[in-house]
Amino acid sequence: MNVLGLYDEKNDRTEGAVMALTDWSRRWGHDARFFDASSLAIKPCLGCFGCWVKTPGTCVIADDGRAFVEALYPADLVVIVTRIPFGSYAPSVKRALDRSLPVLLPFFTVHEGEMHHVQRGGRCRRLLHAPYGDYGPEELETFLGLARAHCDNLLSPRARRRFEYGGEPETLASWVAWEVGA
Amino acid sequence: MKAVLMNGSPKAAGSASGIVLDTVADAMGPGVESLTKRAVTAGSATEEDVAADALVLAFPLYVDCLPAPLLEWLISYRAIAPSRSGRKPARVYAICNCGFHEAAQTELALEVVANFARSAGLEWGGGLGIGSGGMLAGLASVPPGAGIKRSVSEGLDWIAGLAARGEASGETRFVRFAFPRFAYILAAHAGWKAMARANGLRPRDIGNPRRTR
Repeated sequence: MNVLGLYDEKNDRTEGAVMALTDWSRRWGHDARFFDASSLAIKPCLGCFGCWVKTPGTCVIADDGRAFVEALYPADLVVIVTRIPFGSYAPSVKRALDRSLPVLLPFFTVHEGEMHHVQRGGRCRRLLHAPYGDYGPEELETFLGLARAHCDNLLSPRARRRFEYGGEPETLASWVAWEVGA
Repeated sequence: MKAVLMNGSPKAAGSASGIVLDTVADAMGPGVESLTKRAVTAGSATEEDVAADALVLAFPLYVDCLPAPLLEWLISYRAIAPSRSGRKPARVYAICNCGFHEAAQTELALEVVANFARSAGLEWGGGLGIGSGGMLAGLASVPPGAGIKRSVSEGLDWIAGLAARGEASGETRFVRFAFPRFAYILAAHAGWKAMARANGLRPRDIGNPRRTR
């Protein structure tokens, strides 16, 4: 399995998460790659749709956003570890996700009763979202809703269990393993 | 009453959020003492933004949420929000448009703005989610009372009225153009193909794994 990790910035919690997920991946023979979103030079997505109708599958902006999308294409599992200001993703993570539009096609399908985009190449990925940091109950509920919506948008199965990353890397790795059944 | 209308679209020009804010500005009427239009592309929040009594945000839905630059702007606003202490809290209104037919897909993005309001010590004025937002630009010149547009126009009037009167209902409403989903999807698909052709591509190139020029 190809595993892609995306986290908001380097700190004790995210470094612990990377180590635990690296160990887990190695044990099971998965290929793992991690991105510190704060270290990426990513300009905002302009909503120009060039990645759909000009250079299909590739963003027209030449920066680290392209490298992130290149890593996203082959991923079978994406694990997102992020603080959740106002119940959203951290801005650095959001910048990277905003630029992930090329993995979708502009064409629509109806999934779970709602309009969503067809996935480029028909490829569906598992997505797991691990919120951490200081937040209130409203922010957590909003973020968990965003996580479900993100899965629906990529036509991916939703997480079976709600998870908060309290700083115990082994718990995070166990949850990821349980969710993907390995 | 001073109002700041913030365009949260990362597009420098020609955004649907700009059309929305133009409509809101017209509907707010002459009772507003000053009305400043700002764009998130101009950078962080300023003292002038924090001094406003009403903040009206309009933005497109990006990955079920706010575009990253608007999120960064909200964080910059919260950082300087204490400079407003001692005055009545400002009221925040949000209008999110999405390209999907279902306006309810904007619900979580509007919730994020409501959470921001609480976190920054502001009053949550209300939110409006607009579905089938791909039609906003194409129907900009259609009169507001026209059947296809009535629901969207009424929604914009509602939130502009709240902002102009200084009311905070905390309510969220969802509106869309009166156009069936299957037809909206067909029209969108035809539009993508036309755009590809205009760029010198064949429609089937759209689905290519990765074509670059």
